[in-house]
Amino acid sequence: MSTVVNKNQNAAYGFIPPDIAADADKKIEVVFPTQGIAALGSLADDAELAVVRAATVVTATITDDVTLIGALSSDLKPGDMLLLVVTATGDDFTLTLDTALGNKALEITDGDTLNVLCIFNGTNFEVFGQKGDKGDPGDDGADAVIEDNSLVPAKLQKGTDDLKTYTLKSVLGVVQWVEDVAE
Amino acid sequence: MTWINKVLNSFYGFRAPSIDADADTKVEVVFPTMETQSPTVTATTAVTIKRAKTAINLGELADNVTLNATVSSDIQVGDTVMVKASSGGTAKTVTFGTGFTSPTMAGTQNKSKAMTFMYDGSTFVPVAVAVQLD
Repeated sequence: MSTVVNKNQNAAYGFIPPDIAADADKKIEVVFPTQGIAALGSLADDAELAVVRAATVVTATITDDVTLIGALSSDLKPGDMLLLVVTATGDDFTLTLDTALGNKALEITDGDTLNVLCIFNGTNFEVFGQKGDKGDPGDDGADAVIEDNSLVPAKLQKGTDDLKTYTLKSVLGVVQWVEDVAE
Repeated sequence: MTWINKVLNSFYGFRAPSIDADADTKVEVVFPTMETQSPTVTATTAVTIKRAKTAINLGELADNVTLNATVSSDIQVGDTVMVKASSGGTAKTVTFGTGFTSPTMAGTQNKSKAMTFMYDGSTFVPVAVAVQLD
């Protein structure tokens, strides 16, 4: 059956084959796209992470520096996604993703949650984007283009001070902090 | 089941994955549909997320906006939402409320920004910093 029907709403759902010349005269198969959540709980040591589905969300709390070691299924296809939602508790810790998961070390501030999106490139996952609770370069201005006479808000932390929201202003190429609002 | 492009004589089908955890179970996914939404924007703007991929264009903001989302039970882990908003002469901020767990998207005057979220099973979380589009 090529059509799926919601009988309550009389809605019919079906796939259409794309017009891709490279696929002519071929049989193309994709792995059935399932999703899953892997709740790793509290991690104080390196841990293996099995990734087997088209979309996987991983939740964890790290209480020490932790390396995640990817065990990748042969079912994975390019474009499959892995979202890591990781919180550091007790101190600032480093979450290290091994080669299979993106080969990247990510600093997480105590009490913060870091979301990291990884996309499978056919061989391993690559970090596509990340977003933390605070202090992300580029989040609200830092690492962004600050044009002359424009005002750009940015969350910054000076030394051990509390995180604060500043407004950055660029005048003739010189960036000034022109406002300081406590969080 | 197979889908056929009769012009190109191409056959498209799904292959069952080899996932041990699925053994002896029936696994279903919601049909992956997409949509674009351009809601009427007020200080508190409500949207309903019900498809696998949703693009929400808030247009040029007249004021700061709080975006609240009602998340349909059809939404699955990994579904995505992209939110786009522009600021005019004064930078405006989008605050993400119900349905999201996210910092704000601070605007820049006369610029457009976009931010992408993924459903983690309970809420939409940002997967990257806001991107300035122009």
